Amino acid sequence: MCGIAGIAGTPTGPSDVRLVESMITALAHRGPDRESTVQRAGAALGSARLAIVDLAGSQQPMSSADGRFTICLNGEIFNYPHLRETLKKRGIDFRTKGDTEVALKSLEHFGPAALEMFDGQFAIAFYDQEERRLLLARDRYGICPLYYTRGEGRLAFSSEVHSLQRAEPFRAAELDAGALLDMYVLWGFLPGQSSLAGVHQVDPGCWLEVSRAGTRQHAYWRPTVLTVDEPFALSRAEVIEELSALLAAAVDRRLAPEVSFAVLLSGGLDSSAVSALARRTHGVTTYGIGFADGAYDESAEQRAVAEHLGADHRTITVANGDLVKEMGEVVEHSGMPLTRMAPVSSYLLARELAAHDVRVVLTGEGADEMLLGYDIFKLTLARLAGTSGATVLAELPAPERTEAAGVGAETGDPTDPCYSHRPRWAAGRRIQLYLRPDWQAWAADRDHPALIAERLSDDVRAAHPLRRAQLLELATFLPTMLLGAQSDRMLMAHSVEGRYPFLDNAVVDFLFQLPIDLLTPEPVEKALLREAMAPYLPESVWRRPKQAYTAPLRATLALPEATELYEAFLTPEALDEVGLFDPRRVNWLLGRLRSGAEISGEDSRALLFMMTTQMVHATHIRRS
Amino acid sequence: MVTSLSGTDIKNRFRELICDDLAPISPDEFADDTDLTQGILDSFALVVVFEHLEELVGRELTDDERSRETVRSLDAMARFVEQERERELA
Repeated sequence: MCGIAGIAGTPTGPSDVRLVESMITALAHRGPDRESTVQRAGAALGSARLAIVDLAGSQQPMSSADGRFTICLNGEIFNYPHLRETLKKRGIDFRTKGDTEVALKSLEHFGPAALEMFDGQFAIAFYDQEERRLLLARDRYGICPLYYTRGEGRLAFSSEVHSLQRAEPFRAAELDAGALLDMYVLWGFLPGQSSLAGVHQVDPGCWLEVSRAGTRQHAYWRPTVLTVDEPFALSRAEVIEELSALLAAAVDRRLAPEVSFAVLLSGGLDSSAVSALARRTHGVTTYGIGFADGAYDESAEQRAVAEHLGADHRTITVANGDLVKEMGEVVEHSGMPLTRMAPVSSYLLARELAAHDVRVVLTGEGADEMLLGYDIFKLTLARLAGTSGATVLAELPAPERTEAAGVGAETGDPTDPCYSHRPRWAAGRRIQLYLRPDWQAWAADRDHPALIAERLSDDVRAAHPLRRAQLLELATFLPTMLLGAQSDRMLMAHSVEGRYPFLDNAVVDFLFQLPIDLLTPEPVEKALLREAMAPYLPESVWRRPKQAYTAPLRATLALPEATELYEAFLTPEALDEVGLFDPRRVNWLLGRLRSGAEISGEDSRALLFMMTTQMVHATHIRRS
Repeated sequence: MVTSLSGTDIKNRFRELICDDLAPISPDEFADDTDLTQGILDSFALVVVFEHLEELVGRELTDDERSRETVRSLDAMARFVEQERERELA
């Protein structure tokens, strides 16, 4: 991956080039190999490159021979060899061996329709200087980030929000408190939102057209799901065989033989599957996180899988105190408040990967969304069956249950478009108690289910509640938390690129076309994957119940070391400066923590969110 | 044995419990019919409230009774106890 940034709109002169240069310098961790900026009529574009494909060639920004078109590509187009052949048959020549030129010429030749042909993870800036038109595009799932903002009649874009803060005319003056509260409740930003006021994201599966006529976002992809009554031809055995073949191909496409690559191994089914499939063709090094807190530690399971596969396995052990120590760095890189600790442990692991010169890691992210592995799917099923969910949740194995709000969850109305997620979102409203009166009033009027429902298409509304639950996870948690805060931002902080075989286009398209009965998490979640992986993994792994990958939250927040953070960021003065949280109410929670009283999962999450919101303000607003 | 506390006393007792131990909220910030399940009671608070309800009705609640409807508001909690008392008397 890389970091990309630029400015579009007249006037664009040397001063804009300098602004882009400073934005690119702020992205140096994303691309340590080469920083470069070019000026075109009406635009300045830059790139910080992390070279993975065609190491010597494929420098960026890359322009067409006549200079009309220029591209900056963050990410990878995995099917570029095929696209290259397609273009060559049309008489188009290539001067490099990489995917950047293929993306450039595909967009030049096919226009935005080329985006539908790309199988990959990418954020692209493609500029046509003749038409003075900029296209900003993002992959289907939001793996690669892309932010933009406006200032003085122009538009600036960048891979990370803090980079935009380096360019004075585009600098945000405050947090987008409403967006942050939405993000907290929904476990993901609403489309277009970010942490900073006036800064937006190009939405996953979309491209933004910036021209003299204005700015307009278009969708080039949205999930096509099998409707409830459509016939399905394959037998279960055929489905398993096809899934296995598609996943193997997805892993093969993501191996990076030109550089040092590894697989992140949590010890669970998904990452074990990726490790096993990579091991078919290559010697594999696996990396895992172990926790000093035994309730979270899966290092023994990791070692068992690695031993079975003959992989060279390395583990870092993370103590709760390490999580506190690194929080400032993590918030600075994530550009958003934290609501869970997992990004911090990911950050520590990424640092270890970089220390061993690993440039690419394959991970199991996306499997729980695509194969219905999360507790929320089980809870939804329990509620559909007419039970309250309390019993189901009590049986689920997880040491830190933020889904605990489902205790006593009402069965509800299954035709409700947001049926699956209402208990989670209702629990998130607890944050209102910690807000100042003006924000409390704002939040009380905020109808999140309605905000989401109005964005759902008719076919999604008509889909099975479990399928809707899956699509809601894909729209909220996946891009913001899992791929954004926990993966891209933490890995790229150390110049490591994450790759996600479960989010391969062919895998995703196949799984969306399966009848929901085949994906149901009862009696066991991810049954198809378990059966598909039976030939590759020991039975103890593919039969093992899911353990959610989490890092210790409650115990970490209660550490004496955490007090220093509270004293720096949650004082009445600091809270007054940001103007979002009520000091008296925050102090109530801190008092409970100090007294050793039990703090719920929701309040632990609220405390982490409040503290890291304050930290985002300190690092992204005050410091700028 | 179900408590002999009046509906008002039951509501006052739960109001006090919530404000003292379960949420950063003042007694005047929520009414008897305020929906407590929309963020005021978290999972920990729900467990505590159910425990107090069990104390008041003198028995364990069933899974079905451990629903959000039972604790949706102070009114709902008082109603639950009063209905239990009526059942006992009958």
